[in-house]
Amino acid sequence: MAYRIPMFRLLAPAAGLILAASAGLAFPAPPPADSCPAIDPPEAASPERGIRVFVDPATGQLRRPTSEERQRIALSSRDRSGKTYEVLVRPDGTRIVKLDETFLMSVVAKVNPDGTTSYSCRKGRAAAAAEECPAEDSQ
Amino acid sequence: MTARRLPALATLALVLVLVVFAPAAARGAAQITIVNTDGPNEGFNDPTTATPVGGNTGTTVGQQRLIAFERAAEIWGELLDTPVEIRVRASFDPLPCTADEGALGGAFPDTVVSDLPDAPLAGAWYPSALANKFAGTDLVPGSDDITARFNSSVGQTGCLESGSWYYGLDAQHGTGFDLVAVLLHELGHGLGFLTLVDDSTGSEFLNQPDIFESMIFDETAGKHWTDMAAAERAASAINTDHLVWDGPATHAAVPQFMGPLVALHVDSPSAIAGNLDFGTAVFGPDVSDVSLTGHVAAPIDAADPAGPTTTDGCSAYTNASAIAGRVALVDRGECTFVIKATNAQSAGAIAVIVANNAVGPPPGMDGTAPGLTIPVLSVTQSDGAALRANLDAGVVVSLGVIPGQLAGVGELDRPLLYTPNPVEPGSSVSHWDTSASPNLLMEPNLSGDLPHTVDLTLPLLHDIGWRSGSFPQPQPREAPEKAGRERATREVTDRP
Repeated sequence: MAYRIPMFRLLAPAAGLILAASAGLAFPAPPPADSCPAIDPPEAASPERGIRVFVDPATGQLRRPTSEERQRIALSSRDRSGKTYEVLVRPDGTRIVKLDETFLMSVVAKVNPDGTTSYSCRKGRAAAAAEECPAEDSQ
Repeated sequence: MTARRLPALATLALVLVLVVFAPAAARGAAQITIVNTDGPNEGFNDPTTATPVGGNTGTTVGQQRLIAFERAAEIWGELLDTPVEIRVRASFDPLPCTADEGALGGAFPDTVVSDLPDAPLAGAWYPSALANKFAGTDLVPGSDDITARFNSSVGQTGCLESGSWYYGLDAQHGTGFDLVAVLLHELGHGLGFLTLVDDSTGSEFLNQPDIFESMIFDETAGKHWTDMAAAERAASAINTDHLVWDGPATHAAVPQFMGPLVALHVDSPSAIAGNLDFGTAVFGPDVSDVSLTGHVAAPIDAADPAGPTTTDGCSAYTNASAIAGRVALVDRGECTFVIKATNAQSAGAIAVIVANNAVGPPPGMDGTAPGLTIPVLSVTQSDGAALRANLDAGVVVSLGVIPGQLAGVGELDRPLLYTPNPVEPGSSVSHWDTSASPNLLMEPNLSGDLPHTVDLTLPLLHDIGWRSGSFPQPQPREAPEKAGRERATREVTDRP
């Protein structure tokens, strides 16, 4: 696993609003989209996991969000399937969201009984997977 | 003078050092950096000895993988223009796989950004690499822009056992899986060739449109997707042959990349009249150069070791006189496509139609037949059965270019997006339609005949905001390689 820079921690002082639905200031590694084990081990949990932080867009100071702000945050960070994404809103209004493997676009090859090969593109790790999970590489 | 010259020389030396030692990926207008996330002795760090192949000078499997990644990054980097480094978080891991089916690899934008003050379309999601270009700075310092994960198990026991990766840089992959071509396709997705809309429900990501979605246009509804409700988008995603890309750069480039529309039409009997989806062969004459009309006839050949049925066309016909001057209809299987075509030509047929022997699209047909002069087509199993069932009534077909029409485009020559019914998550909408001709990089059924270029994909990226006055113009492919109405999955074998 490569070294990963906890970028949002660096941005936090400048951020207008940071929403962490279930994690801290840094985006954690996304959970696997299916039942297969993670290919590379997930990063160590951030010590801030579970903290919900609100930074006042005007002052840059930490404060408790208003109920209206909490409602807006909840609505804007949840997709139609109910899945929650972390949304970083910067002071200028820019919204930043880290995607997960739901959006993985995979090329899948299939060898047909007559020896020909067909290709298709599938979305999501689970959709791209065959039925069996592979053994981990030994590393 | 001396005091001023020394810094200048030092600067020159520094520049020379940078030029000499800059990574390959940094030579283009955009610096695309491959971030190797593999551990020791795996993936990009696999120390297994490898023989240099196709211009790839790596001497280990890991080196060859990294060189292929860098080549794909270099191709894209030379065509894009951004002052901000594009980071591709990459790994080779054993991905889910079976002996005959598995993921070769995939990618997605690591982060998306909306409401950026500098973005052309307010309130739309952009992939972070593109958003960074607008901002002129890395909006998420230290973060990666694209995640790419590829399958290290390909060719091993239990994973696509009959295949293997081809790490060469020359596109001469034979029956191997061309890593550079797959990478170019996947990086295209990571750079923005995808919509975040759920293609099954039509719902937008976090209730906001994305920039790709904003240029999807339904010709039936007369609306862009951003003007539709979710249910309308879901219906539009399966509106086959009527969903197009409505971007000006792409529209302008269509004549450069799309070949003429070729149709295989059943003229009679009226009960089955109409155009058929068909596959083509890489051998024999190009169907776009052919214009013919003829009666369809069914050859009979011996049921012998060459082919156990009398309709497989694997042996010399016993009713050759009934085939001469006609279009021979044979079944797929038992021998190569080349043998079937050669036997048809020997009997005097003017063309041969191979009916698929299984459910699925009409196959593309590979092989070599320098002496073949008649066109070879394939049709679906059901269409083949319909032709055969009507032979007594007299079946007449026509093959030829439809004047003034391009393949793979909608009513106003805007390129079609892939909209099968039922929807195919991951393939639907976020790809060009498979009727495009010649084959395009961003078709869902990645073709085996792709050169390492980005064809009509580059103008699309221009449309979503990657454009710049300094971009080189996209270069069209030299010659069409398949017919217009083909919807076949491209296949890479000469086996039947």
